Amino acid sequence: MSDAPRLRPLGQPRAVTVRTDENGEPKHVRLPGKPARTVEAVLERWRIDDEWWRQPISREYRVVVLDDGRNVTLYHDLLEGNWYAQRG
Amino acid sequence: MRSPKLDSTSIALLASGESSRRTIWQVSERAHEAGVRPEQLVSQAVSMCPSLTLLEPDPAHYDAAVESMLELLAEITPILEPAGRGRVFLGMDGLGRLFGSPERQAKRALNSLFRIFPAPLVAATRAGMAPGKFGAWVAAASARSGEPAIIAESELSRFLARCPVGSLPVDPIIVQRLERLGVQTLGELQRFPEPSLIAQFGDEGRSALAWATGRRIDPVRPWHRPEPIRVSLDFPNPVGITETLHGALDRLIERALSRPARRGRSVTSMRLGAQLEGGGSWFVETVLREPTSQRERIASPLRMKMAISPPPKAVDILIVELTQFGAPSAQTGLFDRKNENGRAAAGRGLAQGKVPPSLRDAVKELKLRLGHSPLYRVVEVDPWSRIPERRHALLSFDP
Repeated sequence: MSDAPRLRPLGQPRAVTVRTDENGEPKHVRLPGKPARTVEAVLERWRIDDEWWRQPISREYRVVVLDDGRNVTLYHDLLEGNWYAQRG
Repeated sequence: MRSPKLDSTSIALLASGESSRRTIWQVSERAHEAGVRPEQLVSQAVSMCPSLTLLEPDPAHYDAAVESMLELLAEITPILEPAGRGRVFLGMDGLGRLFGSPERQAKRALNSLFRIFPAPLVAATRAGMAPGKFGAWVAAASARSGEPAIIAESELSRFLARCPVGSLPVDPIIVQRLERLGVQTLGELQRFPEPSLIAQFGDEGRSALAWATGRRIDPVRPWHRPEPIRVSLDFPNPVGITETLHGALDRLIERALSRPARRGRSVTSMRLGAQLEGGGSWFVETVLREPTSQRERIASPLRMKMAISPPPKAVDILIVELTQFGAPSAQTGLFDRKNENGRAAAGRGLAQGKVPPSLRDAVKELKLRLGHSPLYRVVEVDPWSRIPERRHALLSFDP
């Protein structure tokens, strides 16, 4: 075991399965290890386009309310097309 | 008995300690006949018996012998109560169908000792059987070596009547006063009315009468023995330097604490022993005021005991035994709420690089158990980043 201090980033994104409607809005979400939930509402949305000078980042964030009452922050990676959940 | 050639000589064991005026601890029968007595100065003993062989005591060997005796006797009855070196009480209730009459039961217990001890030692062992420990002890004291004395319940009072008042388990001052009053045997004591004994000696008088008449029966209390954790260090050359022994003690405690058998338990008592150069052994014991699993808290009282009663000779093998265990840990607040005025205050201290002692101790303990610190501190990496995973990180916390 190394004695060097270890750094672990907080708020790492987790891949989730999202089914979208015809407009690309999330309709059902399955978080890792959980059953699929219906999205009841979208509370907020914003977009990040950054770091175009090295590894471009392009994400579309949504804070959604699931049918069990939980608020989850999701983002759609517009470059690779995958969905992620993220705290932060 | 370990050296048959010594059987025909006068032997005395030295009392432990380093002083120049050492005394005698135990004497053999032959030395006793020559006038050597325990607590005599060595010079007095040698003048009484010029051929006296003086030996260093070997407590580690005696304890090992007691251990093996208890293991052996546990095969006969699970109810065992050791009462110092060389004395053990066995609860024999309900064993009649298994072993037969009380005589056969006592013989069986005595004969089993042949499996581990030399015949002359077993032949010199005294055994007594009676209702209660006091009766059994007095019976054993009056028995002839190798021939158990069996006292039935109906005979107990009559048997006790013949015994001296000195055998009573009461304050020796009461025994002295009884003797001065001319009461020599328990039979004479039995004739006194209880109120007059209470008037003279208080509760102890009542107690003395209950013992003397056989009305008080003290049962054998089964003894619970946790398996000790034992670690040892064999030095390539005998060591007499205190600093080296202290270093070895620290290493041994760390090894003992990291044993899987210790996990989930704290330590309440331990023992430090040594095999000495040229034979003999030495040990010190200590009981902690509070259970702990921190090396320093265990080592410190042992070092102090070592300073008071150091090994009389250079050490060949150093041994640490954790003998009694307590709850997993003393649950204390990580942030020293009492001292630091609550968690918020301690949190500020942490941010400024001040680590409360209790938190430092807890991390040490966790590192000892897991091999690394499982605690982390949240640090700001780029708090204003638009990308959430860039803002904060966990840094392993190892003060």
